[in-house]
Amino acid sequence: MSVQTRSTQDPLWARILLIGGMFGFLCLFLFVPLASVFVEAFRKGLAVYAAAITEENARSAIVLTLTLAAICVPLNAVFGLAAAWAIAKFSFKGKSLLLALIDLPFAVSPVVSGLVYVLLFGANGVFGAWLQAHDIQIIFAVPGMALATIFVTFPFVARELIPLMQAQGNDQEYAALSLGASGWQTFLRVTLPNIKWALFYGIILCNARAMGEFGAVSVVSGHIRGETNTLPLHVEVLYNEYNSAAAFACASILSLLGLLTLGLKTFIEWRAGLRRRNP
Amino acid sequence: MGKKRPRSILPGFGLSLGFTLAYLGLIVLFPLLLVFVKASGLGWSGLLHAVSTPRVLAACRLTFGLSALACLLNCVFGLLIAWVLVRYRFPGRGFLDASVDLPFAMPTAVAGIALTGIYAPNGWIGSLLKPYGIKVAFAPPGILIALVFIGLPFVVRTLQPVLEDFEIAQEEAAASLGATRWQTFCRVVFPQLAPALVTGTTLAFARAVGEYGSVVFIAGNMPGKTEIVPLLIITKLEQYDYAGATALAALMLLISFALLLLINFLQRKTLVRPTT
Amino acid sequence: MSIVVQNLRRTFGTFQALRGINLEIADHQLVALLGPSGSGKTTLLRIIGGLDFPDPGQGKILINGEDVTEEPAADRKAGFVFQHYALFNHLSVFDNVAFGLEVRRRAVRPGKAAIRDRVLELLRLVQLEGLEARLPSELSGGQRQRVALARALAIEPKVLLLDEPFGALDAKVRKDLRRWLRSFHREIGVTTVFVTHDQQEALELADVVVVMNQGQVEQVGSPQQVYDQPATPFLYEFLGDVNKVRKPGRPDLFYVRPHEIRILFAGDAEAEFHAKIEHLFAAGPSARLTLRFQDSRDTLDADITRLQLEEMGLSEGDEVGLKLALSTHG
Repeated sequence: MSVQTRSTQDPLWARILLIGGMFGFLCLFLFVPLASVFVEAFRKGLAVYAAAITEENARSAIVLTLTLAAICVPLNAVFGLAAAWAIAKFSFKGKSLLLALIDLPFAVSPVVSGLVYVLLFGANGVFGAWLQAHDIQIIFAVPGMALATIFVTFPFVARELIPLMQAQGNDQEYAALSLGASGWQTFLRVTLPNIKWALFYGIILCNARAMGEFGAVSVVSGHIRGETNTLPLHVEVLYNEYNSAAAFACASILSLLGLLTLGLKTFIEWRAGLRRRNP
Repeated sequence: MGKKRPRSILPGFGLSLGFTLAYLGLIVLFPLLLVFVKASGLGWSGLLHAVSTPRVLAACRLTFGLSALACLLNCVFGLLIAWVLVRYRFPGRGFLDASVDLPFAMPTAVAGIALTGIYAPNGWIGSLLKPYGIKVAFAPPGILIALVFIGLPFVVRTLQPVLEDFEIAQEEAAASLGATRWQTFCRVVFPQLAPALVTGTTLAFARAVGEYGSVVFIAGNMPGKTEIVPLLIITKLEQYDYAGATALAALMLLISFALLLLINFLQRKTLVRPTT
Repeated sequence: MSIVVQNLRRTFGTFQALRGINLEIADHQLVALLGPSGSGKTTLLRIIGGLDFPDPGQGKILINGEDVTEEPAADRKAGFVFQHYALFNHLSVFDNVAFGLEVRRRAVRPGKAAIRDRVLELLRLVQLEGLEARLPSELSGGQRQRVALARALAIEPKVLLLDEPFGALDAKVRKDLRRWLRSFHREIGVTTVFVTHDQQEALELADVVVVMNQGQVEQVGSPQQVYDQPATPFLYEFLGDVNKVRKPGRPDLFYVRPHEIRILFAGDAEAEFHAKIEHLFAAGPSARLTLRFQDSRDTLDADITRLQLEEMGLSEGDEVGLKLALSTHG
């Protein structure tokens, strides 16, 4: 514990100044903006709010957002499990390179993440002519948006699981195998229970980003109302139409998602004794 | 020739590694590689031409300049917040600690319109600043605020574990040797936090240069004045200037990779410090 | 300089770490604070060093006759050596030792050359000359310990305080360093207090041993005094091997140390009790017998010389007579 004792305590004025400084900073940058979302959302009353979030385009945006998350999160979770199994349980050449490559999507601008799929599947893209000939739509349609979302949420589950499984080692798996368990039984009954909190943690973060992603999805969506607008894109459209109350109403749903994520994240950190670390 | 000895008695190596490599290759590596292939198709002069127009140069200056400034601000306030959260005990500390991740949990578009709303000339804070002729939203200071917002957690969360593990006995040793509290901080604590501070700040910078969602609303997006590089890429795409967009994307990717290498290097340096 | 502790109390939450400590330490002494973990010895040392403070109004610390109870560590000039040394990881050995001089106010800070001379002299004193450019991570445990000592001495401390000075070292280095510290203390003559849970260390090294238990001082005395005349049952059990047995046919407990038992032939007229050798262990300088009283479930250990063992021709299962020497305690 590194709480200050009397011999290592900062002077009272310094403590007050620093706590005050932090509080002011967090208010200015976090709390006031967050509060403003809800204030603006209800500015024109409950009826307008309800109408804004139940209106047809909003509803289809919500459905699309949920659909994208339902596609991306399971895929990236399976990938995370496979990558963590290969990297943590076996030794092979090029492992550190593989680790660095898995983190790569976090370093790439969301806009570039979307652009790469336009270059692949867009009308002038590598496969553009072929796709057109076979009447397959990827860009400006759900498949392209799913791909872009998968790209930006790619490392979330893997980067939670890999360090944990590396730290846990193989002893329990060896013990299970020596007791006659099959490979699958070992994975399901021994490995999975040991990593369930980290897996859940990764899935929560992956889901939050998948539902909230803006830049990458914006590039590949084509902004077709009622068809390829996710909730964040719908917020943008409403805001640019100066329909501020509706924009903030939809934003408030996304804010609640963010707060829920934060709550679950804090709960898991507390429950599993994890330490807060870098996003 | 005998049968090759298995890598491990655990099964599933081929399957898991195979799937990992295939998925990584298809989703990430192949598309990224394509950017460079396409960009190299433009040739050196084509590339140079695409990225040296006044508009692109202005966007680069703005993006990198403001990102640097934002991460410097985060460096100061991130250190302050990490210090307070780790070292002081006061009511509401747990809540404030959790809320540091807000910029990360909040969708960027929400952050974008919320910040715009309050810093616009008719917003809660913008209207207070307007009489003094200070324009925040739709001007570079607005972009700066958005970049500070999204970068904050990186600095705080990188510093926190290092500060938590810091041996309090070193501070006691400094005190018993006659150092004042300020001397102890400057000569004993800060130098040992510095590597983590640099790592966190670099992470925040890497995030800031690519940021789009939270900036695009508050920026104003005036070409040459308040247009950031990611927005310019989108603009070029919408104008079917694929060559220009690809060239800019390749440039951004190279910078991202360089920053990633730097961060990896810094993190390795931060980790090896032994505790006696 | 002398240290006086008066009626000191310290509470952490509901835990009473120190419950009224009184202690006087004379100038130039080497004093051991000995006790099991949780006995309050480290808390007492930290309060003497100004790193912790007694409950408000509950006790005083005098150094050289001067009340320093409320003086913060930075003003107290107590050289403190921490259990894990707390060396500044980012500073060289030289800069670690120079630290206490360099942070002084300009008016009382020695010049660069003077600091350099003093640091090099101290490093010579602790036998680390030539290592001044190394970082702490490049030193062995014993070397780090001596850097910490030199660093504490650089401020010309009024007293030297060491918290478990050998706790983090392996057995061999521990022994060497113990011997070295003994002669080192003779050389520098600064009043030194060290905390330890190792009785061997305390008895071998200190002029005065202060035994603590549950926040109180159990006994203060020379090593021989506390070993030979333990004041309480706790001390009997804490210091050295001891048998805690009931005499056959009598209800009261008594304590006897293994070397205080005389082994006689079963027929010897001097024998007070009779017992059977249950186990015999003779791999060492002396032989250890585990004995069982007749008609009793109690066993006790006795140490005899290898010579006596051979002369008497004892082996497991033999019947012997016992005579208990010296002190007993009920």
